[in-house]
This record gives sequence, structure tokens and C-alpha cells, in this order.
Amino acid sequence: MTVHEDGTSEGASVVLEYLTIDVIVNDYAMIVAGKFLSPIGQFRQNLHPSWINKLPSAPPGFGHGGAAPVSETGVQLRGGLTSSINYAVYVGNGPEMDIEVENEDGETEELEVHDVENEAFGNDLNNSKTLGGRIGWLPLPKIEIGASFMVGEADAEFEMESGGEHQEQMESADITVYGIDVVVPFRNFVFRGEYIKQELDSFEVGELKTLDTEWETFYLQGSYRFGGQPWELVLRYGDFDSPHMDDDQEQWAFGVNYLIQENAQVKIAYESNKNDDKTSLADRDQTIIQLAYGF
Amino acid sequence: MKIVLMTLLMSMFAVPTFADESQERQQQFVSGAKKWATNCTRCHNLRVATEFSDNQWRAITFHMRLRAGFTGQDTRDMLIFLQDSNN
Repeated sequence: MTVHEDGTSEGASVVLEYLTIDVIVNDYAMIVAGKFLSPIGQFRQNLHPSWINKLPSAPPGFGHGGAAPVSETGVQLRGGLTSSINYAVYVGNGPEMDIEVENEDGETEELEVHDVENEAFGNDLNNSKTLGGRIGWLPLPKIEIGASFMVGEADAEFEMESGGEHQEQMESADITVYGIDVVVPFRNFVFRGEYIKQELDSFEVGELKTLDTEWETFYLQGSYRFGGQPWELVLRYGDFDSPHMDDDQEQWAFGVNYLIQENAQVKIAYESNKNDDKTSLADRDQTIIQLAYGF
Repeated sequence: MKIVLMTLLMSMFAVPTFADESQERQQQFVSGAKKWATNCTRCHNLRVATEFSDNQWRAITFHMRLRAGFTGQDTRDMLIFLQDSNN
């Protein structure tokens, strides 16, 4: 929830992040049904809570409109096959497309996919389910390497103009997401990295055709906890490429954390952000101070 | 030879004793301690056993089983370690 400078929260929304029913099937499988965090990659499902995330922000491309899916509505099977192999596989409603329509003289001149909304939807416009999952492997007890995927269709409802009349339109496009992630703790250091790519195929409406589009992001992060001290240093590099130059972002982030307790900390971070368009919000550097507490 | 056969027969029909259960729990405790130390810090800072009660640890470990993809056995081992260490 956001509170503005004048103390009001107009336009803010309260969102239920996830709500699931979990059923233990046996020692190796659990069924999760409802709205759940996407198991694609590591950041969203395991690292994004503020008391876990070493920096006050998500890496570029791991938020709304990014390359990495955020959440999903559906059914998931997950668990550990052994102490060194874990997995998650799900079927869900899938994402929706945010379509920009350009009308002129009562005719639709251009269609463009602005972004893919990868947040859980309670309904499925085209009744075509997406399939996704992740497998994690621990070659050594503390080191984990993961590979993720999602395939299916993204759908959208939008209005077009033809002959001066509005027409409701529903379209779908094939979507593929894949990613890898790794975490390597070593003494007081923790190194982690994640790469995710999302590909959306074009679709046609009459004579209009959208383009094949791709969203791609990765980050590398290193953190160091001073032995026996409540201080922590963090450095992260991230690079997000989207079909829209305004959204691209290359980022260096540096943070210092003071741990009041293991689950409560004060974080101060500086982000150096770069976008080729100097007027873009994605080009603004920022300093963030955050008080984080988690259960 | 008779003694060996008698011993084998007796062990086949032996019921678990408190000593057996205690030994098994001890093994689970040791295994759980190792898994707690190696698994938790892959994502977050280590939470010490004394932070939570037995019942709270039960809920937390089963939540973490889902999040981190532990097997049931690994989860039970960690639960025994945490419950036996929080006094």
C-alpha cells in the first residue's frame, strides 16, 4: 500500500499476494492450489520478502511488466525427490497481454503488445492453460543450481475500431519463459545469480500484425556478512532488456545493512541506473532507506 | 550355533525399546542440525532454535518444506533438532 506525500492513499491498492491450500501427498510431493508465487527462478518465490532480500529493491526485470513471472493461479505439485533434488511443476491460467491500440479516423492503425502481465489472474480468457516449473539440484549441500520453464498462451481483451465502430476483440499468443539460477554461499559470502528470458510470438488481427517480442533479464549479486557483527555489504549488477526502450535498465546497486535481529534490519542502498533515454524513469539513480521486518 | 540362531530369532520378534527410539531420535537430531545449518542460509539469515516454541517450529518447518522443496524426512529431522534445542 502506498501513502502519498500529502498523507492520502488515493489510487493505492491492497493486494493479496498469495493464498493457497497445501496438501501433503507423501514424503516427496505436496499439492498447492490457489494463487501462488511463481516458481520460475528463485527471486520471486524465495528471495523477495524484504527481510530476506539483501537490497531494498527487486533486480531490474523482476517486477511488474518484467521478464520474470510474479504469480499464478492454478495447481502446483512440488517437493523434494531427495535431499539434493527439488522440483515444482504447475498448471495455471497464465498471463495476459497489455495491448496498446492506436486508432485514427475510426480505424485501428496499429496494435502493439506493451507488456505481459505475469501476475495471477482469477479467470482465463482463452481457457488455455500454461504449464511451468523448476528443478533445483544441490551438487553440494549449500550450492543450488536451478532451471525453470513456462509454456502456454498469453491472452488479451481489447477494443478496436473498424468502420467507425468499436469491436471487442480477444486474442492469444504463444509465450515461452525459461531461466536458470544459482546460489553459492562461501564462508561469510553469498553469491547468487539469475537469468530469465520471456518470448512472445506475434499474432494477427485482420491486416494488423504484432511483432515477436522478447524480455530478458539477469542479475549477479554478492553479499558479505562481517563475522559476528550485525553488518552486511551487498553489491548487485542487473540488466533488463525489453521491446520498449523506456523500460530497459542497466543497474549497479550497492547496499549496507544493519541487522537489528536476523529478521529485522535497516537497509540503505544506492542504485546507479542507466537507460539510453535520459528522460526515462529507468535512468534515474536513487538512494533507498528501508526498515525491514519479517516473521 | 544355537546361540546365534536364538539371537536372530529374538531380534526378529523384538519390539522397539525406548533405547532404540532414543537412538533414532539422536540420529535425526544430528542429521537435522546439519540440514538446518546448510539449507536455511541458502536464502535467508539463520533463525536460532530458541526463537520459537515447539508448535511454532512445527508450522514453520512444514511451511519451509513447501518453500525450499525439502523431503518429508529432511523436514522431520530439522524439526526434531529445532524442538530439542529450543529450551
